[in-house]
Amino acid sequence: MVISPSALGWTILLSPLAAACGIQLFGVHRRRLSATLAIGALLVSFASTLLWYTFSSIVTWAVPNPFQLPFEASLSWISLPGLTISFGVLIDQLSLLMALVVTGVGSAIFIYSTAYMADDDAYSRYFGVLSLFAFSMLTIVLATNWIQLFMGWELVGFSSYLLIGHWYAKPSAAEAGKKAFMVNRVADFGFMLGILALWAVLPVDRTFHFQTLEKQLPLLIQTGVVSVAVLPLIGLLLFCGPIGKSAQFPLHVWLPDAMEGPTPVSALIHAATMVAAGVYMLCRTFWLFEIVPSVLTTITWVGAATAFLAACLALVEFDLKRILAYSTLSQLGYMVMALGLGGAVAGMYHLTTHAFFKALLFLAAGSVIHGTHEQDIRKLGGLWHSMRWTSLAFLVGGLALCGFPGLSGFFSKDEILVLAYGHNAPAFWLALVTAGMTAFYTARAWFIAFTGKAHGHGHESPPAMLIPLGVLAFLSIIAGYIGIPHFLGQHGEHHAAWLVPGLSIAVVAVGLLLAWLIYSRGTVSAQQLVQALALPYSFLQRRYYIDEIYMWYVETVQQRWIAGACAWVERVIIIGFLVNGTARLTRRAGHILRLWQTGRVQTYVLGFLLGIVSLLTLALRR
Amino acid sequence: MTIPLPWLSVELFACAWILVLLAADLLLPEARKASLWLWTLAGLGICAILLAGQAIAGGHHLIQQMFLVDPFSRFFKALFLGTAAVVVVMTRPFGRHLAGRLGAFYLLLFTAVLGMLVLASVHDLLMLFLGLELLTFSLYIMAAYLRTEARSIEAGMKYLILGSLSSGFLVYGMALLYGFAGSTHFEAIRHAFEVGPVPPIAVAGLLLVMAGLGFKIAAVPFHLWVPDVYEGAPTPVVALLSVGSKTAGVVALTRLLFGAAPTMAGLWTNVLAGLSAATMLYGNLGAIPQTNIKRLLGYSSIGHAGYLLMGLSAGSQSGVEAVSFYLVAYFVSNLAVFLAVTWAGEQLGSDELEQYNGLSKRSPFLAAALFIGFLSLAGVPPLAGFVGKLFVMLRAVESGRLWLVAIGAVNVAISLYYYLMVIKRMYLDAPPTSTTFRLDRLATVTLSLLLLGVLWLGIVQEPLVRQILVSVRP
Repeated sequence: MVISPSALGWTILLSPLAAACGIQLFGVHRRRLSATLAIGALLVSFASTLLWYTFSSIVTWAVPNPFQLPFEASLSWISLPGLTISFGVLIDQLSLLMALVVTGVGSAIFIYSTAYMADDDAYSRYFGVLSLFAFSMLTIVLATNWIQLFMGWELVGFSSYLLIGHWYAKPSAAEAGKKAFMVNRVADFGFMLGILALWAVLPVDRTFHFQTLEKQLPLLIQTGVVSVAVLPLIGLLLFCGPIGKSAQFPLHVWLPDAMEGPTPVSALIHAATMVAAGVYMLCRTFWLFEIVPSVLTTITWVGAATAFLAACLALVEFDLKRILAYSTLSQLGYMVMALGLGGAVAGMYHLTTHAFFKALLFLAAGSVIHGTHEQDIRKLGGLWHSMRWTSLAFLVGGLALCGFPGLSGFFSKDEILVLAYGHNAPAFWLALVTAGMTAFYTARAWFIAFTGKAHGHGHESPPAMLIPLGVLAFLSIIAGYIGIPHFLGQHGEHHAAWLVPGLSIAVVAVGLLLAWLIYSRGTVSAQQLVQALALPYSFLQRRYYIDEIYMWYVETVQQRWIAGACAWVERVIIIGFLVNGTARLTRRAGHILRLWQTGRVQTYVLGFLLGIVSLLTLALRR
Repeated sequence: MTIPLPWLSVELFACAWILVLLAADLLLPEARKASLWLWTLAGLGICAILLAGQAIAGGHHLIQQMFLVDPFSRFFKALFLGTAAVVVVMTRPFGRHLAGRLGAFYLLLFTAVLGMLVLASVHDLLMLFLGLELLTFSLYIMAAYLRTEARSIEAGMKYLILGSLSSGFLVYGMALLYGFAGSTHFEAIRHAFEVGPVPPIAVAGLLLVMAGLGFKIAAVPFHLWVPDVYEGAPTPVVALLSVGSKTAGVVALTRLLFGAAPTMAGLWTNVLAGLSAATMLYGNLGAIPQTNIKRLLGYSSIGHAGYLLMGLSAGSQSGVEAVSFYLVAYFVSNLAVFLAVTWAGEQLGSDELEQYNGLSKRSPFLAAALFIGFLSLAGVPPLAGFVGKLFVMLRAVESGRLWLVAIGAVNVAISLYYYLMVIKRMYLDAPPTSTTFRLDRLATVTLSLLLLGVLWLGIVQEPLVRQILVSVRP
C-alpha cells in the first residue's frame, strides 16, 4: 500500500474535526461513543504525525523521498483577482514537532479526562469541544498562510472559551471564560491589523502565503519595494497576537482566571498547547521578526518582564492550580524572551519540554483535586503518604520545572540562559533570578501540600489518570536527551562556559534551600516574613492592581462614558430615525404595491400592455 | 437528412420515455400506479447518464443549425434534470391529491422537462418557440391539476390567459425579427444586426421577444401572474415554475441576446438594468405584507429574477458566468425551501404563514431547513445565495452600474426582513398545537443533500466556478 504524503497530512488535521462533528451529530447522549471518538481521532492524528516523522527521516537513495521536508499540500479556498487564500497543511520540522506535542500530550490528556470527568453531566459536550480544540490547534500548527493561521487562532480562542466555561452554571467559570475571550479579542484585533498591514505593504502580487513571503520579503526589502520603516509597526501589531494568546504582560490577566475550567483543560490548553501558540507563531514567522531588531528587543523585554513578574505572583499564591498558572506565565515569558534574543530553536525547545512537564504538573494537581476535592495548599498536606504515585509525578514535574540538573527543563532553560548571557546581560540576570524564584515557589508548594502533616485523607486516582501521568513523567525526564534542537536544525555544539549552568544550578539550589528552611524545617517563620514584608506582599497579593485598573477602565470609561454615548446615538438616531423610519417607509411601499395585485386578470393584462408600451416608447424614443 | 444520434440522445430518449410513461399509465393496474414516480426518476436518471455520455467540447449544430449542443446547454440540461428529480420527490407527499391522475402528472412533468431541454439548446427562433410552448403548455395543465380546488383552477386559468398574451407578443416579435433578417436563425439575425442599418421595427421585435421571455422569468412588468398562480397551483408545480421555468427563461434569454443580438448590447443591457431594478424592488417590497407562504415565495422569486437580470445586464461573458452560479445557488436554496414547504403544507393543512408559528418545536428539522434556505435566499454568508449575489453584483460593478448594485444591496436588506419574519414565527412564536411530525426518509435525504449543497457552495466555490468557466466560455 502506498501512503500519499498529502493524505497523511490531511489526516493529521482533519481527523479531530471529524470526531467533533461526529460527537455533535451522534454522540450528544452517548458518553462512551463520544469519548471513544475523541480519543480515537486524536490517536489517529498522533499516529499519522509519527508516520510522517518516520517516513521523512528515512533516507532513500534510489528515488527522491516523497516525504521530503518541507512539504505542502493545499486547496485553493477563495480565489479572486489579486487575492488568493488557500487552506492546507505545511509540514516541516517545526510543525512536525509541534504537531507531535499537540497530538501526543493531547492524547494523554484526553485519556486522563475519561476518568477525571467521569461524573460530569456534560461529558459528551466536553469531548466534542475538546476535539474541536484539537482541530483548531492543528489548524494553527499546520497553517500555510496568515489567514488560515488566524482562523485557527480564533477557533482556538472560541473553543477555549467553551472549555473554561464548561461549568457555566458556576458564575466564576462563566466570568473567566468571558474574560479570556475578551482579553484575547483585544489582542487579536492588533494581530489582525498586523496581518492586513503586512498584506497591504506588499507590491502587486500580494500573498498571505508563508513560504512565498519567506522567500520574497528579504528581496523586496533589498530592492526597496517594501520600506523598512513600516516593518517595526507591523512587527509590533503582529506581536499583539502572542501577547494575548501566550498571556504576556500586560494581557496576562485571563490565564490565572482560566483555571476555573476542568483541570485537564488547564493542562492541555492553558499549559501545553494553546498558550504556546503565540510562541509557535513567532517561530513560524521568525523570518519576519528577524529583520526588525527593534521589535526583537521589545519582545525580549516583554518576555523577561513576564517571566519575572509572574514568578513574583506565584510566590504568594495559595491555590495549587494558580501557582501552576503563574509558573506557566513565567515559563512562557522565557520562551518569548528566547525568541526576542533570536533563538527560535531555544524557544521551541523550551516549549516542548515545558509542554511535557507542565501538563504533568497540572494532571498531578488534577489528580490531587480529584482525590481530595481541595486545591488550597494550606488545606492540603501529607499527600506523599496517601497519594504516592501522584506525588511522585508532581515531584518529577516540579524538579523539571525548577531546572534540576538532568531533567528536561534544565537543558532547555539552560539554552535560553546561555543565549541571554551572550546577547543581553540585564535580561540574563533577570532570568537567572526568576529561575531561583521558580525553584522557590515550586518547592514551597511541594513542602506545604505534599509533605508535612496530613489534613484529612485523599485516595489515589484510577489507572486511567495515573498512566498518562507516568507517560508524561517519562517524557519530562528524557526530553533533554533526544536531540530536539538538532531536529529543529541547530547544528554545532553550544560551548558555553561552565559559568552559566553553574550559576543556574546555584540559584536553583538557593531557591530550594530557602523553601526547605521556611516551609519544611520552619527555621524561618513564614508568618514573620510576611509581616516584615507587608507592603510588597499585599502588592503581590492584589496582583499589581492590574485587574483593578482594567476593571476601572471597563466599567467607568468604557461602559459609562463611551457605551453611554453610543447607546444614545443608537437609540435616538439609528433606531428611532434611520431603522424604524426606513422600516415604516418600506412597509408602506409594500402595502401600496399590493394594490396592483387585484386578482383580476383584466388588471394584469392592462399592466402587461402598459409595460410593453412604455418599454417600446423608452427604447425607440430618439 | 440524418440525425446524428449521440448529440440528440437525451431529447430523443425523453420523447421515448414520455411514451413509456403513457403506456405504463394505461397498462398498469391502479394499485401499482403509485410506483410511477420511480419510473419518472428512472427516466430522468437515464437522461442524466446519456447527458454525461456526451462529454464533448465545442458546439455541435444539429437539425439544420436550429439546435446547438455545447457545454453551456449541457450544464443547464443537468440542472433541469436535477430540478425535475427534486420535483418528483416533492410529489410523494402530495400524491394523494392527485390520486387517479398521477400517471398523467408525471407525463406532463416529462414534457415540461423536454421543453426545458430544448430551450437550453435553442439556436433558432422557431426552436425557441417550440421549447417554450412545450414547457408552458405542460405547466398550464399542471397548475390547474387540483380539479376540485377553485384556487388551482383559477391559477391555471390566469396562467393560461396571461401566458397566451405573452406568447402572442413573443410571436409578434419573432415575426418582426424574421421580417428584418429574412431568417429565424440566430446566426442570420446576428448578421443582420451587425451589417445594419437597424430599423426601429427590428428593435421593437427584439424587445417583444424579450418581453415574452420576461414573462417566463417573472420580470416586472410581466410578472403580475406570479403571486396568484403561485398561491393556487400545487406546490411541486410552483417549485417547477419557480426554479425550472425561470432558469429555462434565463437560459433562452441568454442564448437569444448573446447569440442573435450581441451588437445590440448597448440597448438591451440598459433595458435589462432598468427591468432588474424595478423587478428587485417590486418583488421584495411586495413580499412584506404577505400572509401566505407560497405567495411570499412568489414575490421572492420575482426579486430573484431581478438579480438574474442584473447579472445579464453586465452584457459580458463573466456576467453570464455569475448568473450561472446564481442559478445553481438558487436551485439548491429554493428547492430546499419548496421541498420543506410542500411537507409543511401537507402536515399543517394550509400554506398560511400563521400555521408556521412554532414550527421549530413541531418539526425541528423542517424549521432548520427553512431557516438555512431562507438565509441563503436572502444572501447571508456563508451560504450559496450570498456567493451568487456577490458574483452578480461584482459583474454589475464591472459594467459600471453602481446605482444598480446599490439597489441590489438595499434589496438584500429588505428581503432579509420578510424572510426573518417567517423565521421569527417558526422559532419564537407559540405553536397552535403541540403535535409533532417527521419527514419520510426520501425527503429527509433529498432535503439534507440540498442543504449540504447550500452550505458547500457557500464555502467552497472553486469546483463549480471551474465547471462554469468550462461551460460558458465560448
